Amino acid sequence: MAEVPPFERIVEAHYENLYRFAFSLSQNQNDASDLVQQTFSIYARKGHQLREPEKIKSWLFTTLRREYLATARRANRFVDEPVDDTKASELTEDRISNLDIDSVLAALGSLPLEYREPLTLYYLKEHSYREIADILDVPIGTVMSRLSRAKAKLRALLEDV
Amino acid sequence: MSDSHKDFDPTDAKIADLFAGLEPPADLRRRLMALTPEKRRPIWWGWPLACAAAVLVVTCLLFVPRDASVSAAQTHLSAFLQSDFELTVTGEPLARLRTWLDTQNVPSGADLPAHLVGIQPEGCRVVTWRGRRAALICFPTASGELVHVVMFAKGTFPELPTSPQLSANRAWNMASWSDANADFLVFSKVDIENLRRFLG
Repeated sequence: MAEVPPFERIVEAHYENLYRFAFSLSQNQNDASDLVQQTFSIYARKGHQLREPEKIKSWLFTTLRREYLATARRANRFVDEPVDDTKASELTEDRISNLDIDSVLAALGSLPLEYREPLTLYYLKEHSYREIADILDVPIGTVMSRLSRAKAKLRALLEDV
Repeated sequence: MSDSHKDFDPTDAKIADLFAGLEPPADLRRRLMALTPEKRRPIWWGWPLACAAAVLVVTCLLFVPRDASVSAAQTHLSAFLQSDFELTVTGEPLARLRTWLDTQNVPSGADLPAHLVGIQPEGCRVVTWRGRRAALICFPTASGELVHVVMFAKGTFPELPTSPQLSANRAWNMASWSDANADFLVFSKVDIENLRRFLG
């Protein structure tokens, strides 16, 4: 069995992408930092129970998401957002080159959580569809259909910015 | 980058680059490095306990008769449907899927619930459970969840009722029934009430 890397190396490897995921969920720098810290606090307490190093990344993202959902539920932040079927559109080259992170985060923030989560994990580029499905606890087919709709909606929002 | 990102287009690439440039606050790394991980404690009774558990499992496998009930099939298929499985035929109307299933000598869903018949399916394939072949057809729903319909040969599960009986396990909401041609097991993440509507 492969050796579990030391705590510092795990922090180093994952904290930046965890922060990006947390920022996309919470839309707030302080909340995102707290979520990442809370996630690693849990890992520091329970991580020694994980025997398979290759599952650490998914465990961290799953834990962060669970912590976010618990916090948001307590704060009653969930709103039932209507979901329509936006047609996919292509952004012009000019529009693509002028995109900035603030407009992307703002557009992401206006998407329902069920779209925001898979889209952010997808754009972090280090998760396969299978891993995204595991983190979100949904079938892989659901991830793919949500991603397809989420991309179309995000593009429509970015066109309007 | 994983294979799942092969379809990245220029917009995706730009958004991913912007994400990669989103830096955490300067003090976050320091705060994280200050955390102290707990060490794994050796358990003196771990090996004897593991050996006893292994003996128990082997005994059960050898002497307990295998459950051939609906619930055993539901447990097996629940796990299969959670996996990264592929559909053999996709992007075709239901009539085409049924023609293909006929060629595979599995039930083709002559009496699918009327509500499902009106939906363009995601696709189909053949699945097996304890040597029994069955048809799987997957239907999309408006919420993005799928309804998986598994059809075994009539009489595979003699205990099935003639109208859908709804149940749930940790992963799925389920329905099962039998008609004149096939035994049906249905799995979905949609809630029970919606599932009932799909089968109505």
